[in-house]
Amino acid sequence: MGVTLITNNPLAAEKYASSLTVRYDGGWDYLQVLLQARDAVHLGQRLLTAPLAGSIKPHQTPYRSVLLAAHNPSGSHAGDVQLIEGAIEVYHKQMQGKRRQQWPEQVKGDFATVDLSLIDGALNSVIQR
Amino acid sequence: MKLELGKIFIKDVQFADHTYVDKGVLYVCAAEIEKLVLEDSHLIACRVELAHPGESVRIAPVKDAIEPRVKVSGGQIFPGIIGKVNQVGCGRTHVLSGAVVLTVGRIVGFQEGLIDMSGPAACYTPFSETQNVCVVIEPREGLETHEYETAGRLAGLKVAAYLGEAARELEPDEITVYETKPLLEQIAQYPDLPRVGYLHMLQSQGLLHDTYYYGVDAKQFLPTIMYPTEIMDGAIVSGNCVAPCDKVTTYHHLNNPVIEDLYKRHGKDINFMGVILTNENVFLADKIRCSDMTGKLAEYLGLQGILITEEGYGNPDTDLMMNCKSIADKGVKVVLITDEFPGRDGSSYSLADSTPQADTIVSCGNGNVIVNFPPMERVIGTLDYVEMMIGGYDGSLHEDGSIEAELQIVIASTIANGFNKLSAKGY
Repeated sequence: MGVTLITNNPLAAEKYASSLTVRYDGGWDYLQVLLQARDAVHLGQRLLTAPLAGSIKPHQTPYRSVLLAAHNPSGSHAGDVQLIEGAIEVYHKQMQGKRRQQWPEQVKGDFATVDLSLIDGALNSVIQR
Repeated sequence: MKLELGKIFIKDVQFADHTYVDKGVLYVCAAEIEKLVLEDSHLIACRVELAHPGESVRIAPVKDAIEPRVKVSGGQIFPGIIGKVNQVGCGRTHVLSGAVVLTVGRIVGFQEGLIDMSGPAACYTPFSETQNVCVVIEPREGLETHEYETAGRLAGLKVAAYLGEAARELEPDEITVYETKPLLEQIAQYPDLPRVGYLHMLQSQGLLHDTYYYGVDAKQFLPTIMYPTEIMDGAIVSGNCVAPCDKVTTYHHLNNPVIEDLYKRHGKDINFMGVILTNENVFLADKIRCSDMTGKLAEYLGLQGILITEEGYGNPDTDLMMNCKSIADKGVKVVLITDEFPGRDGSSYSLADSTPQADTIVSCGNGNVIVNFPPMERVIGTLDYVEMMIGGYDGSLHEDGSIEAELQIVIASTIANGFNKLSAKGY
């Protein structure tokens, strides 16, 4: 079905390496994942998951994963452009005056697990669709 | 559907060699609770500690809060989870009102919050005023996170049901009868009053972002309608932590203030028609599908007005706005209830999404406000994770045990259904 996963989460990249098109860079931060997704949307890919999935605010987690579909069956993707641009705007608002936090490895592991779990749940929906 | 809810008021909790209630005091047998919890081989240790209002006690990290209840007639409590799958919401239910079970322990470090039983930060959580039975759990080494979450969730529910049994034979201090009739009869009962409903959005995004309805993971169901009384018998169970401040604990599901208040006005100035349940999924097609359906159900029920509550921030704000638009476009008047994250000075946008139809909103407060927590004499659990919790940051925890953190670190402080005390007053 041509699903692309854009992520900086090593757990998600590893799990879906063989089943999805994975674009992973462990060096990306939260914003860089959103920017990668934005570029993909402008080039015609369609968002499958909410870019702000999870109730964890951008400054509260190092990891972000976004699922995209290869084509746009409805012909217009203005809504997707609005969603991803909106997410980037929210990111900048939330980060205002905050420095990026450094997390211990164990806590990073927790964040990676929750991020992966959000993607797992969404992929179940894709399969059931 | 008619439910008799009998409350036994609990004004103290103490340890004893068996569990019973006498003259408003709940006596609990710690050994029996520990044995019950450790029946689950995923958990290797369990300790029971009591926390009373006014004590110099800090409880952290708190996962869930559950009120002890028992079904005297009409099914079993927490159906599909620890009770067998059965219809609840009718018959009679007894409540140990004022007593709460708190599950304590690190599951996913950043999502559990804290409770102060005294001092200036105590007022932000309802659980500083309850008699708390804290169940501190520890997992077997290497236990996978999802399994640990399940074990922790079940432990809390089992202990609450166990304590609830002590209320079975008691004569309640107060009995309230709640009734909602089948649709046509309900419309006919108060034909001249405006028909008002409640859209209850359940958190359903993934690990520690989940809610269960009769044991079904909310991300797997489609929007449905329910009698409001079902929720009072544990038809909805929290499996999530989200941010501590706007987490809807199982206690808050059992005591949903929107349902409580709509019943108070039922037959007076409104006709409370019932509850529409929906979820908050991460998959965009689900959001469209489900918000289309909430609009359809609101129209089908003949609603003229509706209140909507959400759980969480960010992605759920999108569901909130899509539901608002879908229902408002059917000609139904919509009021949203939510909390806000507009930054510490309150100057940023409060929500991650918006729609022109969202013109009436009740705010439950700003979760970004900084609060100072003085040191406490006793800690139930551990403060090791304070700086990693949502609301905490580098330097939050001071050497003397005092904490500076955002309000969102406190359990239920800005809960987005109004079960809190934050308000704005004009002078």
